[in-house]
Amino acid sequence: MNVETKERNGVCILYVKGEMDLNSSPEIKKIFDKVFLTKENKILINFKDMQYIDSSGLATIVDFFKSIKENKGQLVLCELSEKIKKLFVITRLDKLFKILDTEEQAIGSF
Amino acid sequence: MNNIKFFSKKSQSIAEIRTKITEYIKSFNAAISEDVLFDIRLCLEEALRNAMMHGNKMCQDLQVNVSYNIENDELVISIQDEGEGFDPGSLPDPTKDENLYEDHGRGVFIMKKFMDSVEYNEKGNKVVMRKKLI
Repeated sequence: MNVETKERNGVCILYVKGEMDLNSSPEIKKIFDKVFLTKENKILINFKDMQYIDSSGLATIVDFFKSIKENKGQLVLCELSEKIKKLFVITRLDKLFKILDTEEQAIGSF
Repeated sequence: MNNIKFFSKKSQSIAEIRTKITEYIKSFNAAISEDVLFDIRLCLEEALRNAMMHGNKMCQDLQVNVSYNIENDELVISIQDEGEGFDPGSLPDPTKDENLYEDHGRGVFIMKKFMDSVEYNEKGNKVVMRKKLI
Protein backbone atom coordinates (compact mmCIF):
# COMPACT_ATOMS: atom_id res chain seq x y z
CA MET A 1 0.00 0.00 0.00
CA ASN A 2 1.12 3.57 -0.56
CA VAL A 3 -0.56 6.94 -0.99
CA GLU A 4 0.66 9.62 -3.39
CA THR A 5 -0.66 13.16 -3.24
CA LYS A 6 -0.91 15.72 -6.01
CA GLU A 7 -2.48 19.17 -6.30
CA ARG A 8 -4.53 20.06 -9.40
CA ASN A 9 -6.75 23.11 -9.85
CA GLY A 10 -6.89 23.64 -6.10
CA VAL A 11 -7.90 20.03 -5.46
CA CYS A 12 -5.78 17.75 -3.28
CA ILE A 13 -5.74 14.36 -5.02
CA LEU A 14 -4.86 11.24 -3.06
CA TYR A 15 -3.88 8.14 -5.05
CA VAL A 16 -4.35 5.18 -2.72
CA LYS A 17 -2.48 2.25 -4.23
CA GLY A 18 -2.78 -1.43 -3.39
CA GLU A 19 -5.09 -2.71 -0.68
CA MET A 20 -7.11 -0.92 1.95
CA ASP A 21 -7.83 -3.50 4.62
CA LEU A 22 -7.41 -3.99 8.36
CA ASN A 23 -3.62 -4.14 8.01
CA SER A 24 -3.16 -1.06 5.87
CA SER A 25 -6.09 1.11 7.04
CA PRO A 26 -4.34 2.45 10.20
CA GLU A 27 -1.41 3.69 8.07
CA ILE A 28 -3.75 5.23 5.49
CA LYS A 29 -5.70 6.89 8.31
CA LYS A 30 -2.48 8.58 9.50
CA ILE A 31 -1.93 9.97 5.98
CA PHE A 32 -5.56 11.14 5.79
CA ASP A 33 -5.16 12.85 9.18
CA LYS A 34 -2.06 14.71 7.93
CA VAL A 35 -3.96 15.90 4.84
CA PHE A 36 -6.84 17.00 7.05
CA LEU A 37 -4.48 19.01 9.27
CA THR A 38 -3.23 20.97 6.25
CA LYS A 39 -6.80 22.39 6.06
CA GLU A 40 -7.27 21.21 2.49
CA ASN A 41 -10.99 21.47 1.80
CA LYS A 42 -11.28 20.01 -1.70
CA ILE A 43 -10.11 16.43 -1.53
CA LEU A 44 -10.33 13.75 -4.18
CA ILE A 45 -9.43 10.10 -3.64
CA ASN A 46 -8.48 8.41 -6.92
CA PHE A 47 -9.06 4.64 -6.71
CA LYS A 48 -7.48 3.71 -10.05
CA ASP A 49 -4.66 1.71 -8.42
CA MET A 50 -6.67 0.31 -5.50
CA GLN A 51 -7.14 -3.42 -5.90
CA TYR A 52 -9.03 -4.26 -2.74
CA ILE A 53 -10.99 -2.63 0.05
CA ASP A 54 -12.84 -4.18 2.97
CA SER A 55 -15.17 -2.85 5.67
CA SER A 56 -12.26 -1.39 7.67
CA GLY A 57 -11.16 0.51 4.55
CA LEU A 58 -14.71 1.76 4.02
CA ALA A 59 -14.80 2.85 7.67
CA THR A 60 -11.53 4.78 7.25
CA ILE A 61 -12.98 6.69 4.30
CA VAL A 62 -16.24 7.38 6.17
CA ASP A 63 -14.24 8.77 9.12
CA PHE A 64 -12.17 10.95 6.78
CA PHE A 65 -15.35 12.20 5.15
CA LYS A 66 -16.86 13.12 8.53
CA SER A 67 -13.76 15.14 9.48
CA ILE A 68 -13.70 16.95 6.13
CA LYS A 69 -17.42 17.69 6.34
CA GLU A 70 -17.05 19.16 9.84
CA ASN A 71 -14.42 21.45 8.31
CA LYS A 72 -16.91 22.52 5.61
CA GLY A 73 -14.81 20.71 3.01
CA GLN A 74 -15.72 18.27 0.24
CA LEU A 75 -14.55 14.73 -0.48
CA VAL A 76 -15.06 13.16 -3.91
CA LEU A 77 -14.09 9.66 -5.11
CA CYS A 78 -13.19 8.63 -8.66
CA GLU A 79 -12.01 5.78 -10.90
CA LEU A 80 -13.40 2.96 -8.76
CA SER A 81 -13.12 -0.51 -10.28
CA GLU A 82 -16.43 -2.28 -10.91
CA LYS A 83 -15.83 -4.62 -7.94
CA ILE A 84 -15.12 -1.77 -5.53
CA LYS A 85 -17.98 0.33 -6.88
CA LYS A 86 -20.32 -2.61 -6.29
CA LEU A 87 -19.25 -2.61 -2.64
CA PHE A 88 -20.07 1.10 -2.31
CA VAL A 89 -23.45 0.58 -3.98
CA ILE A 90 -24.44 -2.44 -1.87
CA THR A 91 -23.49 -0.68 1.38
CA ARG A 92 -25.27 2.48 0.06
CA LEU A 93 -22.13 4.51 0.63
CA ASP A 94 -22.65 5.73 -2.93
CA LYS A 95 -25.40 7.88 -1.35
CA LEU A 96 -22.90 9.42 1.06
CA PHE A 97 -20.10 10.14 -1.39
CA LYS A 98 -19.95 11.83 -4.75
CA ILE A 99 -18.45 9.09 -6.98
CA LEU A 100 -17.36 9.94 -10.52
CA ASP A 101 -15.86 7.92 -13.33
CA THR A 102 -12.86 10.07 -14.25
CA GLU A 103 -10.46 12.38 -12.49
CA GLU A 104 -11.42 15.19 -14.87
CA GLN A 105 -15.10 14.85 -13.99
CA ALA A 106 -14.25 14.71 -10.30
CA ILE A 107 -12.08 17.84 -10.37
CA GLY A 108 -14.79 19.66 -12.30
CA SER A 109 -17.40 18.69 -9.71
CA PHE A 110 -16.01 20.76 -6.81
CA MET B 1 -13.22 -31.38 4.58
CA ASN B 2 -10.09 -29.25 4.99
CA ASN B 3 -9.42 -27.89 8.42
CA ILE B 4 -7.18 -25.16 9.87
CA LYS B 5 -6.96 -24.04 13.50
CA PHE B 6 -5.09 -20.95 14.61
CA PHE B 7 -4.73 -18.70 17.61
CA SER B 8 -6.42 -15.32 17.46
CA LYS B 9 -3.24 -13.38 18.11
CA LYS B 10 -1.76 -14.35 14.74
CA SER B 11 -3.12 -11.74 12.36
CA GLN B 12 -0.96 -13.07 9.51
CA SER B 13 -3.14 -16.18 9.64
CA ILE B 14 -5.81 -14.35 7.65
CA ALA B 15 -3.55 -14.02 4.60
CA GLU B 16 -2.34 -17.61 4.95
CA ILE B 17 -5.88 -18.98 5.11
CA ARG B 18 -6.99 -16.83 2.19
CA THR B 19 -4.07 -18.17 0.10
CA LYS B 20 -4.89 -21.79 0.98
CA ILE B 21 -8.57 -21.44 0.19
CA THR B 22 -7.88 -19.55 -3.06
CA GLU B 23 -5.49 -22.30 -4.19
CA TYR B 24 -8.07 -24.92 -3.26
CA ILE B 25 -10.76 -23.12 -5.30
CA LYS B 26 -8.44 -22.77 -8.29
CA SER B 27 -7.59 -26.48 -8.14
CA PHE B 28 -11.30 -27.11 -8.54
CA ASN B 29 -11.94 -24.43 -11.15
CA ALA B 30 -8.83 -22.85 -12.68
CA ALA B 31 -10.98 -20.48 -14.70
CA ILE B 32 -12.78 -19.04 -11.69
CA SER B 33 -13.48 -15.35 -12.21
CA GLU B 34 -11.61 -12.67 -10.32
CA ASP B 35 -14.97 -11.20 -9.32
CA VAL B 36 -15.99 -14.38 -7.51
CA LEU B 37 -12.56 -14.61 -5.83
CA PHE B 38 -12.91 -10.97 -4.73
CA ASP B 39 -16.32 -11.71 -3.16
CA ILE B 40 -15.02 -14.81 -1.37
CA ARG B 41 -11.91 -13.02 -0.10
CA LEU B 42 -14.00 -10.13 1.19
CA CYS B 43 -16.38 -12.38 3.12
CA LEU B 44 -13.73 -14.79 4.35
CA GLU B 45 -11.63 -11.98 5.79
CA GLU B 46 -14.63 -10.23 7.35
CA ALA B 47 -15.67 -13.49 9.03
CA LEU B 48 -12.14 -14.31 10.23
CA ARG B 49 -11.68 -10.84 11.68
CA ASN B 50 -15.05 -11.02 13.43
CA ALA B 51 -14.06 -14.37 14.95
CA MET B 52 -10.67 -13.09 16.13
CA MET B 53 -11.64 -9.61 17.30
CA HIS B 54 -15.29 -9.78 18.35
CA GLY B 55 -15.56 -13.51 19.09
CA ASN B 56 -12.26 -14.33 20.75
CA LYS B 57 -11.55 -10.66 21.60
CA MET B 58 -7.95 -11.23 20.43
CA CYS B 59 -7.31 -13.50 23.42
CA GLN B 60 -4.13 -15.35 22.52
CA ASP B 61 -5.27 -18.61 24.17
CA LEU B 62 -8.46 -18.87 22.13
CA GLN B 63 -8.53 -20.54 18.74
CA VAL B 64 -10.42 -20.06 15.52
CA ASN B 65 -11.39 -23.21 13.65
CA VAL B 66 -11.78 -22.90 9.88
CA SER B 67 -13.17 -25.69 7.69
CA TYR B 68 -13.70 -25.48 3.95
CA ASN B 69 -14.84 -27.79 1.24
CA ILE B 70 -16.44 -27.82 -2.19
CA GLU B 71 -19.74 -29.71 -2.31
CA ASN B 72 -21.81 -29.88 -5.51
CA ASP B 73 -19.89 -27.00 -7.13
CA GLU B 74 -20.41 -24.91 -4.03
CA LEU B 75 -17.72 -23.59 -1.70
CA VAL B 76 -18.64 -24.10 1.95
CA ILE B 77 -16.59 -22.27 4.59
CA SER B 78 -17.22 -22.75 8.29
CA ILE B 79 -15.56 -20.47 10.87
CA GLN B 80 -15.97 -21.04 14.60
CA ASP B 81 -14.50 -19.05 17.46
CA GLU B 82 -14.36 -19.81 21.18
CA GLY B 83 -16.13 -16.65 22.28
CA GLU B 84 -19.53 -16.11 23.85
CA GLY B 85 -21.30 -15.70 20.53
CA PHE B 86 -23.74 -13.00 19.48
CA ASP B 87 -27.17 -12.55 17.95
CA PRO B 88 -26.67 -11.65 14.28
CA GLY B 89 -30.34 -10.63 14.13
CA SER B 90 -29.63 -7.82 16.59
CA LEU B 91 -27.24 -5.99 14.27
CA PRO B 92 -28.52 -2.68 12.92
CA ASP B 93 -28.94 -2.29 9.16
CA PRO B 94 -25.84 -0.32 8.07
CA THR B 95 -27.61 0.89 4.91
CA LYS B 96 -30.25 2.89 6.76
CA ASP B 97 -29.76 6.63 6.37
CA GLU B 98 -29.07 7.11 10.07
CA ASN B 99 -26.31 4.46 10.02
CA LEU B 100 -24.42 5.48 6.87
CA TYR B 101 -21.99 7.61 8.87
CA GLU B 102 -21.12 4.76 11.25
CA ASP B 103 -17.50 3.58 11.11
CA HIS B 104 -18.39 -0.03 11.97
CA GLY B 105 -21.14 -2.60 11.52
CA ARG B 106 -20.83 -3.43 7.81
CA GLY B 107 -18.95 -6.76 8.02
CA VAL B 108 -21.83 -9.22 8.51
CA PHE B 109 -24.01 -7.24 6.10
CA ILE B 110 -21.31 -7.51 3.41
CA MET B 111 -20.97 -11.26 4.03
CA LYS B 112 -24.72 -11.75 3.56
CA LYS B 113 -24.76 -9.73 0.36
CA PHE B 114 -21.69 -11.24 -1.32
CA MET B 115 -22.14 -14.92 -0.42
CA ASP B 116 -25.07 -17.08 -1.54
CA SER B 117 -25.91 -17.97 2.04
CA VAL B 118 -24.64 -17.11 5.53
CA GLU B 119 -25.91 -19.01 8.56
CA TYR B 120 -24.97 -18.77 12.24
CA ASN B 121 -25.36 -21.43 14.88
CA GLU B 122 -27.70 -20.74 17.79
CA LYS B 123 -24.90 -19.52 20.05
CA GLY B 124 -23.62 -17.18 17.35
CA ASN B 125 -19.98 -18.27 17.49
CA LYS B 126 -19.99 -20.28 14.26
CA VAL B 127 -20.80 -19.09 10.76
CA VAL B 128 -21.24 -21.22 7.64
CA MET B 129 -20.97 -19.39 4.30
CA ARG B 130 -21.73 -20.82 0.88
CA LYS B 131 -20.93 -19.63 -2.63
CA LYS B 132 -21.56 -21.32 -5.98
CA LEU B 133 -18.37 -21.66 -8.00
CA ILE B 134 -19.94 -22.53 -11.36
